[in-house]
Amino acid sequence: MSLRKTSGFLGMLMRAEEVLLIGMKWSIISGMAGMVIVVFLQIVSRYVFSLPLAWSEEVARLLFICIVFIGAAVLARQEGHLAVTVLIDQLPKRIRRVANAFSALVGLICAYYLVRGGWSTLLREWDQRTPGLQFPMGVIYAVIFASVMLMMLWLFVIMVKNCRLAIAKETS
Amino acid sequence: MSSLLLLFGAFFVLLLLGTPILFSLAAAAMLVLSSIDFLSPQIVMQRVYAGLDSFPMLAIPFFMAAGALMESGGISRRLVNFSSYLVGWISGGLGHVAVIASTIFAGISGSAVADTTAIGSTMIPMMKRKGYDASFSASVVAASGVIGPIIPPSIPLVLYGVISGVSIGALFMGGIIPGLMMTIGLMVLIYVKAKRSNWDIETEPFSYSGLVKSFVDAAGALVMPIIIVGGILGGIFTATEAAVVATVYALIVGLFWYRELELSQLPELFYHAGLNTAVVMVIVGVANLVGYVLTIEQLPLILSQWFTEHVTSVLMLLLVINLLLLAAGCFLDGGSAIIVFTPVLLPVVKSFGIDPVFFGVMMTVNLMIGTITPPVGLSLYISSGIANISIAQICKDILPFLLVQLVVLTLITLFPDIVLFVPQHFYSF
Repeated sequence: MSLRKTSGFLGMLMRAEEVLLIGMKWSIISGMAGMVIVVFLQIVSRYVFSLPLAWSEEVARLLFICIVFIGAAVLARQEGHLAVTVLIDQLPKRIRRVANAFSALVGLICAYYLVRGGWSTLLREWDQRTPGLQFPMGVIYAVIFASVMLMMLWLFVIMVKNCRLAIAKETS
Repeated sequence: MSSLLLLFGAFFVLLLLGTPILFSLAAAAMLVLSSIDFLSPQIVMQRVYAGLDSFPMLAIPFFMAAGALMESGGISRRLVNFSSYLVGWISGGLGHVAVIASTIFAGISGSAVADTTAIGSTMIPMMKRKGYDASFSASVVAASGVIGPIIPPSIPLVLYGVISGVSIGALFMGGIIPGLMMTIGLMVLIYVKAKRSNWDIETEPFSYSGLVKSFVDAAGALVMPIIIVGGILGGIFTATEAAVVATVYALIVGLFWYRELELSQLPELFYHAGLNTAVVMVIVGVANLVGYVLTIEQLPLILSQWFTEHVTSVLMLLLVINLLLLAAGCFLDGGSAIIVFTPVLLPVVKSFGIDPVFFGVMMTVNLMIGTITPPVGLSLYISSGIANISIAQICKDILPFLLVQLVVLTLITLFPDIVLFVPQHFYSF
């Protein structure tokens, strides 16, 4: 890939995306590690110290939700969401591109609703605190909002890409 | 009924167009909601969030991580070696080894794909080298992979348990006997095949010292199923906690016992386990939105009434459901099918007085057979890829194995006590 060579505004965007994806990757990794540690602590604390933890389940659940939303955005970028492609794989390339663009549009509409829903929830729940740790729920909803926003942007890019490929002349 | 048609009609049309399952489901649900003026972004977000907000679901990333850690920690080679001394001397040789190694790995991993990949990458090259037919080798491995999510732990059963509210522990216990029936069935088939066609391939040598040595070497892996099943059966921990114990155990075994796992591999392993979790969970979240649509439209009730009017016996109902699921399993992956069909079918099944634990296991056995049915059979793709043969070839050779699995499915459908025996007698829920 000539990723590094692209200059100007587009190159800047591409590098920003690269940094973003690395950040998301490490968020997922630390989220996973955090979940393992917290739930394992819960068991140890209960059996070894006879001291059930009040906050462990809550933390693990919130980490889990963040992982799923961040992961959903990454998967949208990688076009890695599960789909049944046996039928459209039989179609000519150009029609397949149109179908892919349409699928991205459907995803885009769904993501749009999630973005709007995510935003209003963020505003409403900003001051809400979790019962166990008194952790602000606003942070969680901000992560969710950012993730669905990114998902929407990436789906838009994929849609445009497929549209352009569909109308482009067969060269390569 | 018209909303039901709209919901499933839109879903299937989008699905066939290649739209990702999660967007097909979400769009179908949103279409129905907008047709009755119930659609609002807040409801969409709330429902998806609520669908994900579940502690038992954490078993899924943990089991995925545990399986991946065990695989990278050098487990599959040791299991194959141990299985080889255990059953390699029987007529049919390495065929039996593949089945037994997969069965043991099924007690570590919770998915057919993980089982097929782990055992296939070791077994298939080994079988080809010893002169076994490539397509036969790939078929054996793919068919044994089905056992992976049936013997506990099991990701599809976790999904079913959380969606239906049935005890995951009981479901896990219910999978043990059907899983072992498949193991035995496959081994009988391989034995008969070997005897009938007079294979000239030598079986593996047997020695007591070799068996003991390979057993000790594989002990690190063999302890894991005991921790999971024993821990849940003994009421020491829940399925989710068993999963995290399994993850920590796999880490310790890989890092300090076998020393084949490196710390630098961990981030990548966790990343993939996290992404694979997201693949499944986004569909769970969106399915909760569909569940909301089903509830406000009272669709399960309507469906139950329709079934009670048209289907007269329990057996008839189960036959219809099995055929429907087998057809669905040809196209959808098992996890997605469970997420989509459980909320629709469970109320119907309950109104016929069918045990939900039995139903969950039956459904899982049925849909996991879908991993070896064309056109969309993940395990078929994986094992034919490893063996370097065409899909058409493996589709032909998998048939007898497929038949064995279908016999097991038929048996448990006719005699639900096969499934319910372990949960009812050894597990209080």
